[in-house]
Amino acid sequence: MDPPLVAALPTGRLLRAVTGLLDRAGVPLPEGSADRRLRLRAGGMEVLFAKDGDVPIYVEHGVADFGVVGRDILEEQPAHIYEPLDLGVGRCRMVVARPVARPLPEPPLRVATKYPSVTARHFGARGVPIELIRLSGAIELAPAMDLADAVVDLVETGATLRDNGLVEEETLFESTARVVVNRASFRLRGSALQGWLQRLETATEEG
Amino acid sequence: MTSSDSLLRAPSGAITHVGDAARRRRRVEETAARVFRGWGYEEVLLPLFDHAEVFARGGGRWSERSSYRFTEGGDLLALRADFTALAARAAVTRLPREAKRLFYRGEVVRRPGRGLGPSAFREVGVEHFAAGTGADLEVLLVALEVLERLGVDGFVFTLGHAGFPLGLLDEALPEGSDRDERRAEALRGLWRRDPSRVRAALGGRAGPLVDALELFGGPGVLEEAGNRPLPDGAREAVERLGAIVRVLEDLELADRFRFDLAELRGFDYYTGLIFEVHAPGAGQEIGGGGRYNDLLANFGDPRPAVGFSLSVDRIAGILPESSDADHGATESVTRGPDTRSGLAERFRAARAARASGAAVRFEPSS
Repeated sequence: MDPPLVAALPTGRLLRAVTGLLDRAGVPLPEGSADRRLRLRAGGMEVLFAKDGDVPIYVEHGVADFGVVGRDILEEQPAHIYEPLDLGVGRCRMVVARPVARPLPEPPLRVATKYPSVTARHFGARGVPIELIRLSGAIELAPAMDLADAVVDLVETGATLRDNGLVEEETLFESTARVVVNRASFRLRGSALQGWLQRLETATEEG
Repeated sequence: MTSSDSLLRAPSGAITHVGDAARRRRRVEETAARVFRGWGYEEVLLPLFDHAEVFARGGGRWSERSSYRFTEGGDLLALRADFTALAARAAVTRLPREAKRLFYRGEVVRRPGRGLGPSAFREVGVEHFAAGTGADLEVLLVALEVLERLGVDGFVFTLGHAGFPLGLLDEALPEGSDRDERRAEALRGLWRRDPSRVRAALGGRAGPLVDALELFGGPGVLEEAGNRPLPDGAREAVERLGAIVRVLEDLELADRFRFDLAELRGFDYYTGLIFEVHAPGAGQEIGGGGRYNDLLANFGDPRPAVGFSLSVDRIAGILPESSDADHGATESVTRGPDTRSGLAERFRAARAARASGAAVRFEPSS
C-alpha cells in the first residue's frame, strides 16, 4: 500500500485564502490548525505547514509531493518543480511604489524590498542602476525614514502603501496561489496526484 | 579564524563520504562501469576544469549561473559543472571518428543554490555518437541494465521527444519582433507545466500546446496524440516514440516505460528522444538524458549524439540494504610477535593468502 500523499501548505495569509477551497476539495483543516501543529492528517493526506518561502523547497526535495504557494515566492526563488494549477485565490500584485511628490533622485535608486531577485531582475532588465536594500517586513517604513527612494512589494489592496504616502508606479506581475508538484511524485504517484489536482481544480471553479 | 576552525568545519557543500555511504556510491559507479563496458563503451577520464567556453558550448543550463569560474593566465576557466560538454569536446578533438561510445564517471561541482545542500554531485553516464532508433534504444537499455543490476526497486522511465512540444510551439508562435521573448516564456511554461504561462505567451494559439501538457501516461498517449492534427515535426516525434515502444513491447520491457509528450527537462538543447528516470524514495530524478544532435556541431564536427547520466548519490540513497555483498568477505587474520622473524612470517602468510585471493587483516602484535 502506498504511503499517504504529503502536502506542504503555507502558513499565514495565503493559508486563510485557500482554506475554503481545500475544504471543498475534501481537505478540511481545523480552525487555527497551522498555529498549533506543524503536521496533521486531513482528507487522507499528511499535511505539513511551512513558511511560504519554504514550501517550494519541501516540494523540490520530494519531502512533500505537492504544495500550495504564491507566485511571488516562485518568482523570487525559482525551483525545479511543476506548477500545474493556478488556484486563483490570494490575489495580490507585485508593485514598484514611490513616495508621492518626491522627485526622482540621482541614480542609483535606493530600492527596499523583501524580494531582492525580483527587484534586481526588474530594474536590471531596464538598465536602471539600483542600490538594493533587503528588508524583512514593514517595507513602507523605508521611504518614510528616507532609507529608500522606492519599494518593491506585494500588495493586496494597496491601502497600506497609500496610508504611508506611497503611490504605485508599476505592476510587475499578479500573484495568486499556485499548486506546485514534485517532479518525481508526478511520475510515481501520478494517479493519486491527478485525482487531487482534479478536485482542487473543481473546487476552484466552484469558488 | 584559527587554522583548527578550517580543519573541523568543512565549507557548506564540501562532503566527505565514509563507510556505507562511500561503499554504496562506489558500488553504483563500478556496476555502471561494468555494464557500460559490457555494451562496448570506452571510459574517458575528463579534466576537472576547462575553459568556461567549453561548458557554454555544451549548452547545459549549468554553464553560466552555476559554475565555479576563475581566471588563470588571462583565460576564463571553470570547474567541471557538466560532463556532456567535456565528452563532446573530447570526441571531436581527441578521439578517432570510429569511437562511437564513451562513458565517464566522477564529480561535477556547481555553486550551491538557495538552501540546497551539496554542490558536488557524482555522476556516471554515456555518450553514443550515432543516429536512429537503434541507438536510442541502446542507451535506454544500458541505463535500464545498470538499475536492474543494482536492484533498484520500482524505477520508471518516462520518455518524450523534443520534436513534439517544439513542433507545436513553432507553429503556435506568431510572427513579430517579440517572437523570441514569447518562445522563451512558453518554454518556461512548459518546463513548469503551467498552462497559464503558456497561454500568456501564445494567446489564442496556445491550445494545442496546453493540451499537450495532458499527454502523459502509458503508450496510449502516443495513439491519442497521433489522432490529433499535428505539424510535421510533432507527428514525426510521435512516430519515432512509437517505433521505440513497439520494440520495448517485443522485449517485454514496456511496463518500465511511461510517456510524457510535454517534457523538455528544463533544457532546450534536445533534438529527439528525451527521458527521465524516477524511483520510489528519491525525491528527484535518478537519471535522464536524450538526443542532442546539435551538440557536436558546437565543437566543430556535426554528428548525431544520444546519451544519459545517472545520479550516483541519489541511486546510492535508495539501494536495497541487503546488497552490500562486497563488504565483510573472508578474512585470514594473522597474529604474532612484532619481531623480525615474527613479522616476516606473518607477512609471508598474508601475501600467500592474498595471492590466493583471500582478504586479510593484519592485526597488531598479540
